[in-house]
Amino acid sequence: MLMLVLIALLILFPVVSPAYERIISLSPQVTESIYLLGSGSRLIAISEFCKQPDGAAKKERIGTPLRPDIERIVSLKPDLVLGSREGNAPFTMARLRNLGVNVHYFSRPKGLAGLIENFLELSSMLKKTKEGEAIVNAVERSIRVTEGNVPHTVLWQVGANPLVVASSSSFANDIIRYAGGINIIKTELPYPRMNVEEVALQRPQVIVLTSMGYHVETEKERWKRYINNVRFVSLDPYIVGSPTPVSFLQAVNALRAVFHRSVDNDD
Amino acid sequence: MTEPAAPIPQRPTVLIFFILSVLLAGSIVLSLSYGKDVPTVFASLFSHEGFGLVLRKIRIPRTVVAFLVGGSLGICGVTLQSILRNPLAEPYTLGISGGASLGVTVSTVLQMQSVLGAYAHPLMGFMGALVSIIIIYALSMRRSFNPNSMILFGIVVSLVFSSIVFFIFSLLDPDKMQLTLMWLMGDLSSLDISLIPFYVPFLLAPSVMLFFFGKELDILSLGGEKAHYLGIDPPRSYKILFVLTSVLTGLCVSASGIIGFVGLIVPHVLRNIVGATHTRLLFSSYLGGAFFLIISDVFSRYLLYPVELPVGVITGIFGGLILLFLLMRKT
Amino acid sequence: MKKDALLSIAGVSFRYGPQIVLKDIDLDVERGEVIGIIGPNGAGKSTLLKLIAGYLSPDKGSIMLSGRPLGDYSRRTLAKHIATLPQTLDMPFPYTVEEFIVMGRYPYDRRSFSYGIEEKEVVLETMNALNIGHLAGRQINALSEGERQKVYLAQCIVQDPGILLLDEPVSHLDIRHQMRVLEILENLQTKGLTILMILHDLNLASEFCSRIVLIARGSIYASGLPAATLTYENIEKAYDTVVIVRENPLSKKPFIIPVSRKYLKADNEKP
Repeated sequence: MLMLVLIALLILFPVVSPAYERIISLSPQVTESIYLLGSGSRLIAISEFCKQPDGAAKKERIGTPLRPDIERIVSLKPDLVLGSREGNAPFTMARLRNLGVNVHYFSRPKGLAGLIENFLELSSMLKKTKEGEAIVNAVERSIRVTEGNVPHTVLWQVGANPLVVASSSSFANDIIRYAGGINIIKTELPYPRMNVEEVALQRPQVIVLTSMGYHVETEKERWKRYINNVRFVSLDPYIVGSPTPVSFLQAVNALRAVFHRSVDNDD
Repeated sequence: MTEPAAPIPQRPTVLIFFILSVLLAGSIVLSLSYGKDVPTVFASLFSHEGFGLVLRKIRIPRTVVAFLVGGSLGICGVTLQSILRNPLAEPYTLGISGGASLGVTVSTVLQMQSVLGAYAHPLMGFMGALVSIIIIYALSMRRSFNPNSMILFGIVVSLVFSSIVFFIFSLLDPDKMQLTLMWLMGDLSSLDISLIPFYVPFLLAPSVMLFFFGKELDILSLGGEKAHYLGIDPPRSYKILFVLTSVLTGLCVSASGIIGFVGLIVPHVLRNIVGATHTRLLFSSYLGGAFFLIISDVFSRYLLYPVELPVGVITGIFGGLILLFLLMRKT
Repeated sequence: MKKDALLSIAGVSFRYGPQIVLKDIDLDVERGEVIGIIGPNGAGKSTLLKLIAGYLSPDKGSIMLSGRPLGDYSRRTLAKHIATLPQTLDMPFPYTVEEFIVMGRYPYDRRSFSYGIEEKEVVLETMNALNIGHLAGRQINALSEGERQKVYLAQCIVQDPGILLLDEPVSHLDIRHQMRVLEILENLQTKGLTILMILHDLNLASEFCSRIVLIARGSIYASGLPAATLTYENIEKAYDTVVIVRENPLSKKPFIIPVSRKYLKADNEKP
């Protein structure tokens, strides 16, 4: 009898699982994804670093992703707290869980596939599976790699003093790949500190600048000393740092635009 | 009873300086020509393409900075070890680095590069150092200006400043924090080429002035009281030397972040070789410091090429091992 | 106060914070005197020496060197007139004996990078005169106490001063080295040097000093020839210790024997 009840519960559980209405997001990309899925109104609080979309501006802030205000989170009585592995410290999430808070956090995506997987997982949690799939399909349609062209060589600059770049094993490499470029830095380390010589010798055609604590114009001046005819793509660090499938596509399109421009100019 | 005066054993000073100069020249050649042969390097000196570009715009400026910073840290170490009468003192003992770190952190947070461009980090780093120099100086003036108060106030000021740095870091997002930390850990590649013509005279002038303090440092190392009896006004000397070394240290930190162990280990090793008198120690530590930093930088650049290691990590590992070896041998 | 005195101290008082260390000190020193400054611990002897050396400034009174106030001399000029050996001198760096002694020539040769041939000659002569020539290349920290004290003294001598101020120059030495160091000083005195030294051993003070200055509780308690000052009354009052004073059969100077309390008790019990 008890067994039957248990089995019944297990079967019924997904069906009766609550539609979360009081969500706290500790991660900028999760916040943005929730808005993309049209569920922004279900967010009761977000982190200090959640800056997009504009609708998020009025939400209550509960501290930085690394050090959220745990007391405040508990007192808000959320039915779900969402975070991400790259932004939130595991021990804060564990503490919230010990305090009886329903916590879920997404794994670090290695590329577009992982990003889509996380996004679909979120949409099913929000019971927005259809909307989620529609967005993913649209992104996948327009992102398909165009074959045939010789790939542009790309340097993705993360930090300036010292030079830190996103290598072939980083998440950003997938943006370069989908855009039809090729990363000149191939290392096992995703974000290595890099010898400037290597860049000057390899002479990338395009440099991606994400203005993480550095100034884009200063860096353009620097690179022009070493490399003639280099082209620059300036990306909002927010797009790169907190990617959703949509912002991933935006980044890819920004790179493609520069690649095409350079081809036109070369002709 | 009367023992005849034995001939005084002369240290082979000339030979030692010759060897040091050869080592330094070798490190410079290696730094400029790594991976290429020397004729190629000469041929490239006048080329604007390929390796010529790398040589002229990357390797030469970087080697110049390493030379000046290494030499300056070496003689700052000599000077501070003498006036603090502590063979383990180093340029950062006075707490100048705390102020410089704060300056750079503020520069990052306020995105001052959008106004100052490549000048932002060095300028703000030096301003931070200057503020801490002025505070430590003013506080020390209130008591008699002596090494103890310099150290005491230096530690306190540095502690306060680094606490503010950590306070700012806790509000910064982790990526930015990490990138700022990386600069603070020592980086010879970042100084913009256009700034080097400014740094050369400002790093050389205080160094040249310090060379003339050799005899005075001998006397000061006997302690303030005995120095007084030998015809020095110690508080006045401490003031001048404090200003010279702290400005020099501040400039070094602003040019290349905090590069530890150079100012500690170089005088320490050379004291065993050229002896304790400070004129010889100052000159040899300038050469030795420049050599040590250039060689460490070569390692940081090419050990895991094209990945670069923080040069402070290399000097720390080398310096630490050498110091450990020296201490083991003494006991 | 004599006008022609080499050193003239008049009405000098000094305090550390609220604590009065020296009060109304008057002392005239003639050229060629060897003055032994004695007195119990904490009496203010070292402070007096530091005042004469110009390291401390008196709160009241004046100190004149050759008729001019001490404050009128530059640090460097003063270092050519007065050499001072403090009670302790620790050496954090491994200087050799020669490197250390030549520092005494600093007031004469400040500007050049290293000391000239003439300066090194002076050092060599002095080392030979003190029989420490064989130590020239040795590290100071590796020397014995006795050798080290001679090296310290040699540095003061190459300073070529008129006045030598020594704070307990022989306290840590065995009797052989005590005698050697004091004989060196005696020899210097015959060459016209004036010496003021703090001594704890009253018998050495009696033997080697032309004048004794007994300081107790911040004032000069007695001053004069050894025979006049080293009386048992003076010593008992200043040190609060019973002594017997006899005459050294060879030098005819006073010879002091401290008396342990256990013998005093025995005396008192006997009627």
